[in-house]
Amino acid sequence: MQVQLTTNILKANDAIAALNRKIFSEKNIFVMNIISSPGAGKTTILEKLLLKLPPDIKPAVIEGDLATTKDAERIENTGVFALQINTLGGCHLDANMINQVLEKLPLEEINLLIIENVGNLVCPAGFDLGEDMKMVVLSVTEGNDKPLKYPVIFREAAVSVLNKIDLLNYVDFDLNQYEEDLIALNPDQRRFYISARTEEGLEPLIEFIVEKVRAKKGGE
Amino acid sequence: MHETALMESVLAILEESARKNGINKITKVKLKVGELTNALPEALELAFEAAKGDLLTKNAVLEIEQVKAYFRCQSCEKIFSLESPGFYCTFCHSRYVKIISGDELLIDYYEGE
Repeated sequence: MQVQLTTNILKANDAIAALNRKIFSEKNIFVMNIISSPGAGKTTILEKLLLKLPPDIKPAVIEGDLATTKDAERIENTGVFALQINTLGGCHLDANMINQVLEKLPLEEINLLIIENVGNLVCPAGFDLGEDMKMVVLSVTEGNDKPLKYPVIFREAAVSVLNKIDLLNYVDFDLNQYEEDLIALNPDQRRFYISARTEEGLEPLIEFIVEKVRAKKGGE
Repeated sequence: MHETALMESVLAILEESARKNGINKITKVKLKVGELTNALPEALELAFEAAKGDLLTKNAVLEIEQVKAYFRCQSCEKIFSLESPGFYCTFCHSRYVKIISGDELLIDYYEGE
């Protein structure tokens, strides 16, 4: 007996993601899913960014990691609520992992939830968590060939951040080629160029996020 | 790799459907995997072999059809495939293109008794 299914393998994940999205919308919480390879600087960007948010932006962070609570501890040092999800070897977060920790989050007190995904440019791209926006981070030390090598995430992310631009003079990173490839993959993407270490370029990124949070708060 | 998570999801969907259809043994599973999904057929096969150890799918054969990516240009309306990565129209070089295939991850059908 043959049973025709034509069912999306990610059906279960997507259903839970839709549920998460509904909960976040009801509470007017803007949710950002940050994706990069290990070492691109996600946690450092967050450490700097969280300290510079205006008082009406009330953030919380979910830290996805294979093991250890090191990143969550770094975020907690900024005074922001951080919750660690250890995937125990899993290479990405999925919608169910987020759903299961929702009751541990201070959802009534926040309007921005930042999810720092497991460091990986491949797997997290395939799993909707219920976020409003994916942000992909690349650092100049990784090389400008990465958008074309990992097109799915660079195409999916509404925002891209190039980090460690203070090192541009020391590495062979072709900025023009990088930009050209990104435009080809995703012409509508907002692109930011920053150094989390020196804080160069951080302000426009923060302004952009603040604008998004306020728009969602206003129910737009 | 995420192939393991995908395969867990495949087996959960199969179990649910088999129960509904009164099927006790699945003999064949056919997946359609788009080339834009980053899911590698070899890794999916490995994950299937590792995960299928229960009675329902123990003897099942996995067949994977890879689906090539095709795009429709939103400027000149032509359809093209990607010979090199870049996501732009090979005819008019427009960057506004829509994926029409290659991003699917589907269980097409299964056979059982």
